[in-house]
Amino acid sequence: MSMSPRHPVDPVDDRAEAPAAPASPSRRRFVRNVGVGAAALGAVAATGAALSDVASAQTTATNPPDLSAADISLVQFLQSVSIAAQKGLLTAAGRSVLTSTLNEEVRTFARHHATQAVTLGTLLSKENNITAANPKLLAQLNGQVNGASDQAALLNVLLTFEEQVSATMLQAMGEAQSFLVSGAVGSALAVVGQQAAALGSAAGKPIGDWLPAFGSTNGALTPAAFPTS
Amino acid sequence: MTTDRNHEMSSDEVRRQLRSAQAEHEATMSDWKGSLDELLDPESGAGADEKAAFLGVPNRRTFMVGGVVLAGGALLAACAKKKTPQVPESGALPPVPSSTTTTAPGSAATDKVLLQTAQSIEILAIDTYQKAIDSGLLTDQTAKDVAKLFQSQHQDHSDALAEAITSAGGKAVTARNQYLADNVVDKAVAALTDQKSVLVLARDIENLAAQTYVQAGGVFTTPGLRKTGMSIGETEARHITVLNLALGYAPVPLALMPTSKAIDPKGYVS
Repeated sequence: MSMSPRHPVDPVDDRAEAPAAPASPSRRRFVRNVGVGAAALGAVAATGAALSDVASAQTTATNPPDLSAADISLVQFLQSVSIAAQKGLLTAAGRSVLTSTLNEEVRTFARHHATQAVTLGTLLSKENNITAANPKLLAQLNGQVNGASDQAALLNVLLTFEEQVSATMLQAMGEAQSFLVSGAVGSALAVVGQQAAALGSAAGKPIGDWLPAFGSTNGALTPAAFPTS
Repeated sequence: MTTDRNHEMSSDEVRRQLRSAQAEHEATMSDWKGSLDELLDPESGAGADEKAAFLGVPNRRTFMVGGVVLAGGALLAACAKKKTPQVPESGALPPVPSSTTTTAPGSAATDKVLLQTAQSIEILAIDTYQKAIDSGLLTDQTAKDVAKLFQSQHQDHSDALAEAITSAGGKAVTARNQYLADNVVDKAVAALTDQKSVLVLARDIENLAAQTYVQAGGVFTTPGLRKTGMSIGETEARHITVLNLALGYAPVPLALMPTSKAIDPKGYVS
């Protein structure tokens, strides 16, 4: 298994694909029914790479779905976590302890968290959008990042953090009442899990540590422990 | 095996973890199956509220107040009685009522189709990894060990899905997804030439599987099923990252997992 130090963009994964033509009435109905969620995800995914600032992009939320109060709170919490993740990872990338390749990867992961925060924001009205990082979580993460003395220590910090975010999103999958929320969270969760795997591999951790057969909610962050403000 | 300084996976370590992970998986499976058996068995005595809490749907009081997630109630009802075993066949999802764009797209019947389809994809993955292992094209020991690890995890997923399907009154799937086998995989297996081609095919299958679970996460009618589905889908997304690394691609190229490569509805198993 050859692993090159430079990672070219996979043309297959990054290809913008047009939706397949409806194959049957049921498929057309299915597509129509998931239209709101898919449109929200698709619009953000297509432009996600160009987004560098969460707050500026969150003003794009228009006609958000009618979510329950519990779902709104859940999405706000996840937004605050994602923004904290973005900022914390940028802090890590700002340290001069990672190789240039890993530094580039960590910056990419930070952008991914920012895009995820924006995606979650499309589910909320402008006034309900969270534009600030979860304060307690970011303070904790920054403390750990700045306390890491070398690359191995820093990768461990980031791996643990990504696993916490992954667990938090999986927990949210079991709490969200709306399919729109679960659809958006699931799309982000898969990527957060991938980031944990990449960091676990880079950290040289045993594969069983970062590739369990089933995702876990162990270590999930909670709004009680990490309030959004 | 060539590795870079940023991502190391030793063959010994993979084998060690394969052994320990199997023990861990068995424990996890045991817990999950036990919970399902206890709560979904009609003769268990578990009340509707307990079942609702497990599945993540509102309990009776919340249900009446909120007046939402009707399909969750339908699933509970489905769990309470035996149904005629279903013969797996490909096809579209059961029709759902005409709706506005914010109406949930799923139903209890849809849940079952998605679970059965997911299991058929897991069986396809298990079968394809076996063909890859047997092909002799995986020349690198770590690649072989990773293929075995992934195959064992797909087996865990298939077992878990079989349990969920059976608990919901359906019949577990025993055959690989025929639509994907006929239209994609068998041709690709026949065209394999070297280790890289095997890894590319593996990644394609993992992509299809992970994206199908992500899509299902927005269709399943109960939070419990969404969570269960993504507890599997997340692991398959991690498989993609390992294969991306092995192929020399960016480990995590996208910020959001798309669903454009999820299984075509023609491949649904109902």
